[in-house]
Amino acid sequence: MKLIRGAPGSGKTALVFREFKDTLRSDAANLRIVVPTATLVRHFQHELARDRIVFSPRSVVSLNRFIRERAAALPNEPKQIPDGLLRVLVRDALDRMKFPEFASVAGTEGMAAVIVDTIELFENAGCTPDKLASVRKLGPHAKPFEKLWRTVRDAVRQCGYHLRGDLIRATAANTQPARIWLDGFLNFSPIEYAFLRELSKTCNVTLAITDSKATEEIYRFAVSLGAKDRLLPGKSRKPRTILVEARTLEREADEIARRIIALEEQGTAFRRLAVAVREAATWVPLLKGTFSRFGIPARFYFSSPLGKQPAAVFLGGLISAVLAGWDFETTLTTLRAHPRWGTSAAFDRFDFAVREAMPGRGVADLLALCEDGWLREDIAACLKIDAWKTSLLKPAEWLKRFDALATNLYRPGTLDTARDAVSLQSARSHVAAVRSWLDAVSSITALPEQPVSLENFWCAASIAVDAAVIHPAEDRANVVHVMSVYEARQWDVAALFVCGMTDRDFPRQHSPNLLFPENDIDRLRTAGVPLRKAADYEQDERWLFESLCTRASDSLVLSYPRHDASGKSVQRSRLVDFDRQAESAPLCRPVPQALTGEPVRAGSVDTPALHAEMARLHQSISLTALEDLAQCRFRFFSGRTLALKAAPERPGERLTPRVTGSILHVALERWLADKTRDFVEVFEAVFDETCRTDHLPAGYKLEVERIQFREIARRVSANDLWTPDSSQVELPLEIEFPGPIKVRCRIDRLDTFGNNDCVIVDYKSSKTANVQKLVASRTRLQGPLYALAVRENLHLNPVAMLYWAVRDDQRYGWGKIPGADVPLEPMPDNWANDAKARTIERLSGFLAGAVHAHPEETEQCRWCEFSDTCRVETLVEIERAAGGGSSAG
Amino acid sequence: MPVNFTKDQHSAIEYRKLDACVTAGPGSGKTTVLVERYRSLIEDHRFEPRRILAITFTEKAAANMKSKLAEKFAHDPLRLRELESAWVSTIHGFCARLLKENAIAAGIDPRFAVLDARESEELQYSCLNAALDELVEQRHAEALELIEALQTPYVVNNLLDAYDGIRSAGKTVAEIRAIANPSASVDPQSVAESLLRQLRSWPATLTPARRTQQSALLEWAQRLAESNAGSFAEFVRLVHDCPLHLGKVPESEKETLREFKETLLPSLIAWAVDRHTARFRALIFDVLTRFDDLYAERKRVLGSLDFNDLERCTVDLLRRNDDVRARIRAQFLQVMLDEFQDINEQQSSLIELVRGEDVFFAVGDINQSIYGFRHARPDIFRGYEAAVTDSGKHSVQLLDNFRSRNEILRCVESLLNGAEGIASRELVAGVSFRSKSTPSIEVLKIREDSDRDEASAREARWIAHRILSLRGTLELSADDKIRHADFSDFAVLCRNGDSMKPILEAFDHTGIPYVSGRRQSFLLSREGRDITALLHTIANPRDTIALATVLRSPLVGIGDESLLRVRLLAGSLSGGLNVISYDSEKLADFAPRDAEKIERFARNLKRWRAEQPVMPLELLLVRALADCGFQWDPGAVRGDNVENFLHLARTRGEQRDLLEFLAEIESLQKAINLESDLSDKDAGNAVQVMTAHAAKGLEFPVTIIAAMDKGTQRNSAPVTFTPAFGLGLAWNDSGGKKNSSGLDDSWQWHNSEELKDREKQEAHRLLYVAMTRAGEHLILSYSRGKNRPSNWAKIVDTLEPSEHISILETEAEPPVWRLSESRAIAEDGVLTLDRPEISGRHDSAVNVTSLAVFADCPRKYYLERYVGWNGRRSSGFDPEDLPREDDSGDADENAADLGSAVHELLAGKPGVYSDDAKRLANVFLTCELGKRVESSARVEREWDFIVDVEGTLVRGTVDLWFEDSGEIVIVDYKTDRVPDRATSYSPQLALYGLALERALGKRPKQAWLHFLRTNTLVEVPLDYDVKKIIGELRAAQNTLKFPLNERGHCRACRFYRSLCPAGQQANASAEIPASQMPARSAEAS
Ligand code: SF4
Repeated sequence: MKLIRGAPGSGKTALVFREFKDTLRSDAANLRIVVPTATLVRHFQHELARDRIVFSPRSVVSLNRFIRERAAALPNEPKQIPDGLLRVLVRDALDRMKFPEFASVAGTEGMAAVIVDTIELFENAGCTPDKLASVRKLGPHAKPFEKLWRTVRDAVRQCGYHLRGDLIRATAANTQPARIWLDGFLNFSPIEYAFLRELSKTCNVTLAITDSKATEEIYRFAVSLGAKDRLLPGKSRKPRTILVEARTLEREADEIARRIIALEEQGTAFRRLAVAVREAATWVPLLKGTFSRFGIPARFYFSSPLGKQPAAVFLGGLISAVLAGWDFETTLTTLRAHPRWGTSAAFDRFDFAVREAMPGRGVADLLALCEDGWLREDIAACLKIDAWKTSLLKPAEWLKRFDALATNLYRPGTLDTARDAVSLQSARSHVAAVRSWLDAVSSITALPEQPVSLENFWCAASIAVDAAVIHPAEDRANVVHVMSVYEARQWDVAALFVCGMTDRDFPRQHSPNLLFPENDIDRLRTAGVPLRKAADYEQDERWLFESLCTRASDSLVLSYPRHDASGKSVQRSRLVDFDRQAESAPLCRPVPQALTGEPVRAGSVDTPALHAEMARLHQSISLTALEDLAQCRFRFFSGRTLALKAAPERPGERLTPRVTGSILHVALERWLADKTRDFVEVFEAVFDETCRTDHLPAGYKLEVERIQFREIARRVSANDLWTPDSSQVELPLEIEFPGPIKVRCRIDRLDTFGNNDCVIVDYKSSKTANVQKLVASRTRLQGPLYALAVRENLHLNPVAMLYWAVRDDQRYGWGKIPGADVPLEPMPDNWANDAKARTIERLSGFLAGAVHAHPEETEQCRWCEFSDTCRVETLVEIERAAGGGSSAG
Repeated sequence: MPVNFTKDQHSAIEYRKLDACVTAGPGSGKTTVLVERYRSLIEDHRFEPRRILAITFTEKAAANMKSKLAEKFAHDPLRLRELESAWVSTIHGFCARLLKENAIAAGIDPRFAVLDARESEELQYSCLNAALDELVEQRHAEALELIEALQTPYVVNNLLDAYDGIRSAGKTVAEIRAIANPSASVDPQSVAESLLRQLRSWPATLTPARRTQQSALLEWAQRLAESNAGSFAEFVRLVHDCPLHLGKVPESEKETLREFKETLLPSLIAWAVDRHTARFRALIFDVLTRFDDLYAERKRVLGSLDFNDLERCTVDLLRRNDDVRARIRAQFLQVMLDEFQDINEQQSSLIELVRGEDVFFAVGDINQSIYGFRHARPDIFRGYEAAVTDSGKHSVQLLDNFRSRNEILRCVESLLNGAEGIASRELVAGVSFRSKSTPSIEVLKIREDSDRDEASAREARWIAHRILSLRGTLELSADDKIRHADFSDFAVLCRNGDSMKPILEAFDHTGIPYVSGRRQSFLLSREGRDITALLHTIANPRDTIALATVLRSPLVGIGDESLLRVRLLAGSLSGGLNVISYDSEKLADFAPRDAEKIERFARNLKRWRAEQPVMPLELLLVRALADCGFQWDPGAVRGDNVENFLHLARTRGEQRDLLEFLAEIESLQKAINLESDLSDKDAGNAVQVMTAHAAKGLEFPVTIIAAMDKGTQRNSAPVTFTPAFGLGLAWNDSGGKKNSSGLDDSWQWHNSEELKDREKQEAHRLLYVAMTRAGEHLILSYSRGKNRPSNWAKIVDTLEPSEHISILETEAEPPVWRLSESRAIAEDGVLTLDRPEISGRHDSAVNVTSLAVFADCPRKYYLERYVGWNGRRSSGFDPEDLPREDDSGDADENAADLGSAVHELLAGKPGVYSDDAKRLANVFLTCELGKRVESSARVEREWDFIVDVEGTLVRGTVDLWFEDSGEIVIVDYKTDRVPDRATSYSPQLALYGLALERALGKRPKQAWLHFLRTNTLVEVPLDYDVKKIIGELRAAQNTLKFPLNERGHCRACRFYRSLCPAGQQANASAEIPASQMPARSAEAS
């Protein structure tokens, strides 16, 4: 064994390359440069190739790959257990073994994760279940854990795999000589040391390490094996260190972007810049967004969970739907995730149709909601997998089915070329997700070969899918590298940014092992199981920071926010020199990428041809629509001219006042037409009918409404305060206005007295206070226009017009009811004609293109569907500003 | 803050190894004392930080304490390190940490997540609704009766509030169910009899009125005595109708009859109600129990705990597990607890379990207990305070106030000393301010008789006006420095979240910068609503309200005329947009700028929708906003709104699909009035608007208490809870008066009495807290109509103008003031950066076969190699039709498998091979070339390489090369059936040649393709210009332009008419002449 040591930047890697090159000609097949991570492999390959060396890609590998390769060359080709399958086996063992010590937590996801992590910890420490069993006086969790570990290990073997420790031990049998350089390592786990020890017996091994405290263990190890030590001259490089303080995380990210742009302008290529991230969940999405805004090309060396990828949602969702009976809501989410269907106009229609029909379930009902066409055919084909629920197949056969599902069904339509690198990555992640999903599922096929039901197979497969991640391919030549702090400590770049340098993340608190407390670890160490203690982890944290400080040749930028993502104060890391003065981050933003929309020229339609179109659209309008126009032109324009509609209501929100109001109206209409029937019964029938047609979900809320409205119904039918000579209900009438425009109305009830007098009644189910306001309103047209309609169409004399607020059985209105003492407002002079004039003015203005938002009763805006669209508050603001007064600005 | 500690402060800081109780009035330097005590414990008494537990009321206070400690120990790295893991947190933070470290013992998921308040509320809401729905489904008739029996059936929120109370009291639903009826049992019979007895004993001589009263009562008592079997409604009516008029009874009887009226009559009603509603009460408890189970189950599935669980699980852990309890007790040598007066029973039990003997240091102030409505129990503090005093332990009073002007303190005293719930004490001004000629206290009384909403809005405009007037003119003189007030010096405090709305609107209109404690209020801002609409549009453009909102917003910005034109194209706005996205000619009649905008938007929308499922939501939004040319200034109000939205997308959007995220937004919008702990993000120069509750622990030079006429009414809720009496319910009084608040059962009746007192006292204390936030200037403001002022306004109304108090009573509008937005932005301006020019977007490496695909067709390369779609032609999906080995649908895959088997066989890899593979391998082995190999000097099989060509790493594997007579010969086996495509392999073989030449220093002489199926050998020249093709590949990658190479080979291509647009526009066979069809696909077709 040989040891090359030197300060960062002293040329260790260059020396390794030289030696590699020199050896290449003589023995190309058995050379390996081994580095810690897969990303470093690519980095080293580039560096070598730039030297115009032609070499086998297999000659630069990560340590994990190298171990797998050495194992694969053995006759029985031992393989390491895939993560997903390991998780399945652990869950299974926890369920079956029922340890009282873990009884209350055995079924939790977290406990399975703890067991997996602890197995890994012990495997890496080179321990075995036997060894653990031999250690005395451990805490209460040691024994059950050991049994569990042993069971899992056996199960792993039965599946034809190995745990990591076993695999590494097995590789000792591979005595194939080779020339090996290990470069870029700061430490090894105990089992890796054991591997190296074995390796050095048959291979010519060189270890190239940074000369620092962090690598002391490697140094001691090499020396113990009698390695020849070579210390390269040269001092550690000291990049210029800048400390930046920002108010928030967003400002910190902006500042990193600003500095990257400045460095690039000064000639440092993006590929020579890196950002080291500790807290990926916070920083990766933030940096992605920020770099995208500022136009900085970056590669993010992070995987993302498979679970939320549309491929996983689609494929997993279909299988769950088979098992759960195609619930509309979840199936819709599933189908929407399809890369071709989900964004088509046909699916948009299907989407709304299903949302309107929710809640529901079943293949046939679902399909009935899809219009004929390609989408229906595709969905129909896909829903055929419903037949799977009765099959019993071997795992490998299930995999074949799943494979067919994934490769034949999950495909985009015609694919345009991506517009930029980010879009390209998105396109790639579909592919990566399908692959990762199939890989996860296929790992389960190692389970015993008995036929199982879809439910059982999916139960195991979904655990593996949940544990899977995706890494879409990415290999652009000139990008800023964004990576974890662990990855970054091995790279060499011109400038390194370390973000989020707060005391929460640097150093990070080590969370203690739940199964083995510190005193157990002491005992295990004494017994020769070299587990790490809290103090070791703390030491690692310091070394991690120190090695980050040496990765840049030119500049190191350490930054931190004063507040965390949720706005709480945080402190600068104590690892940063306390006396160092921080620079503050100036506010910055990128130039706009596209032309900004100019101020909206809103509120009018100027082209005469369009006025004609509007007149055509509105040849005949309802009085309710006219009320909208009277209240606000834009409301009418939005709702009636543009016919804007919102997405369907969720089931629980469908029972709106509009719906209950209409139930009452329909019931009244039927009852008034035949008063011999019991109104409450009529009401009940209409209510039930509406529940069906409007898909109102059964339950407490529905019954509450039913009971309350039944009460109202009782009151309505019980309280007639006057006796007319005759009565008509639901009377359709029309009024002509210039345009010509016909205004349609439907009078709920018209009572006639004597020859000519009549009383108009309108039932209102809204809140009584709101009904009362109708009479006070100066804008409303319903009252006077009803009066007008009756006069003009029926030649009757309306002596009273009243609103019947059915909730509280109150009556408000104008005029006088013959023979009854109902206090009403006096009918205003010229009432109907005034309303007519107002209507004509409104209609003609609107048809001439005045469609602007101007609410007559601002209170109404609160209930208006178009309050987001009309931007009325900006208009009010403008008016208020224009209203004069002094300005403090 | 004092630099030198007062005597009392010294006493509080000093450690005496005794339980201690500190009463700390407002502004008394409590935090400084706590920090100093902590420091002293470490430095003077050698405590390790891990042995001190410090619990604060809010996370902000914990962070503040930690940062102050870090400052104190900045010189001592070892201590700093220890302080990082110090136990300084809120009670929930402490529980979470303890549970994480002892999860197995506590029996909870070791990776549990903590639900925030809104998440748990929402989950509870859905579980309770589910439990009620189940009741309706399973016990339909009973459920309907229950609905009719309840005073109001809308009880979900009240039940949840009660549930929270039950848990805060450390109780279970079952325990509450078991609470006995708090009313002493009454019996109408005996009540009647005793009344009759009493009436008969009235003096014989009575005035006629008294006589009438006596006989009315006698008759009534008789009816009561006989009423036992009567219906509930009749009985209630009878009790209601009791003809007792205290004015008409003899003086001697008055007291007894008063008692009869006030106590016995209500208890008769309650008695009847209890009997009548017993089974409904049981139903309510059944629902609560079921809900409790459902909620626990949902949390278990999610692996989550809510805040209450944190406390409960910790209490359980410490109670049940002696080891853990002993360890924790032994660990903490000092337990410091702030705001002790706001602790609840469960928390109190927790502290009891954690604290050993004489280690407790509690700080509180009974006058500042304001969380009774969240089930805090101030009596716990009172009890402790008394116990410490009685036992002669360490008791301190910090009464000096180092925050407020003397006149403000006097105003507080004059209004509140002696008020119910306030412990009278003198507030001693501990600092002196410069004297000034203008009053430090302003009262604003805004009159508006007709419209309450307008009154509030006008009041809000006056407040805005006052802020604009005082900013820059009001002199502040704290710390002996004189300066003029700026926005950040002001805080507006409201009684509840609802009252903030008009104030924020007024600030929006006048341009006053503010930060509001209203959670997520940016969602209601213009930007928030536009972005939400954009997301709705991306989710489904058939939501045309959202679509129109976006089109009219600055994101697109088209006029209404164009909107109409789009709608006219297809009957709906979304239909019209769809038409445009396929046929932009339809835009011919549009105004040119609008046409351009719409076309761009339609194009972008398609992209966003395609990318949305796979792209992180924040990134999607950032890109969409950039595509729209929308920009924002960091630091400005609008910028903050956008960034808050992005932050929400980042944190809440990650794990959700778009529709789920939109549902989340909706729920957040509904919850906006719920205030969370105010984040302490220093929003720069902005007015802070928050509830008085949220202001606890804070101080502001200028404090405005707004909307003082508004109050709360918690005692009259239809469901109430108190730990003493349990769950109270109000029932339907069917025979009662209209708008009756129902009939209370016994539990409800007792609760109401208790809650009424609590409400009143707490209102006084809240006002005390609010007023004592003010440093130098206090504005008390309210609006009023015709009626007399109520709530706090009633208290303030008693103030008279004086040297220190000015009062403005007006019905007028304030003069209009507006501040231009630019002034509100940070003064130092915003840098605008150009986007960098980007070069080198190509890949750094390529493999040889990909390059060959590129040379054949760039688009195929893009689809298959660059994006990675496998090119299997989809023959439609049939779930029963499993791929078979010989399935022609998988011919490509089978061919590929066969190809690799042949290659492996020829490379000498041991294994089991099919006859087909062996036959094909034999073709090579027995051919001329194969024989040459056998006799050659050097042979390499499966020779893989990486070579750098013009900066691109090229990777490949040569099937075979050998050296024969000093010449290098390359062989590539092909198992394809298409020997006439030999030329397309030129780039591949040329690259092999280049790699070998570099590696060996010698140029290969020949390169052969061997088509094994037909045993055809084709020699390929090695002069192909590889640099050129690599250059072209790079150019394509740099520009992302991968043109179609539509030729005869397309029909054989797996992407034809699927992922590739080739052949999709027109009739494909017309496009590709049959003569160009390759043999295989002609066969296949
Ligand atoms: S919110 Fe008001 S202004 Fe806007 S459209 Fe509706 S009614 Fe008109």
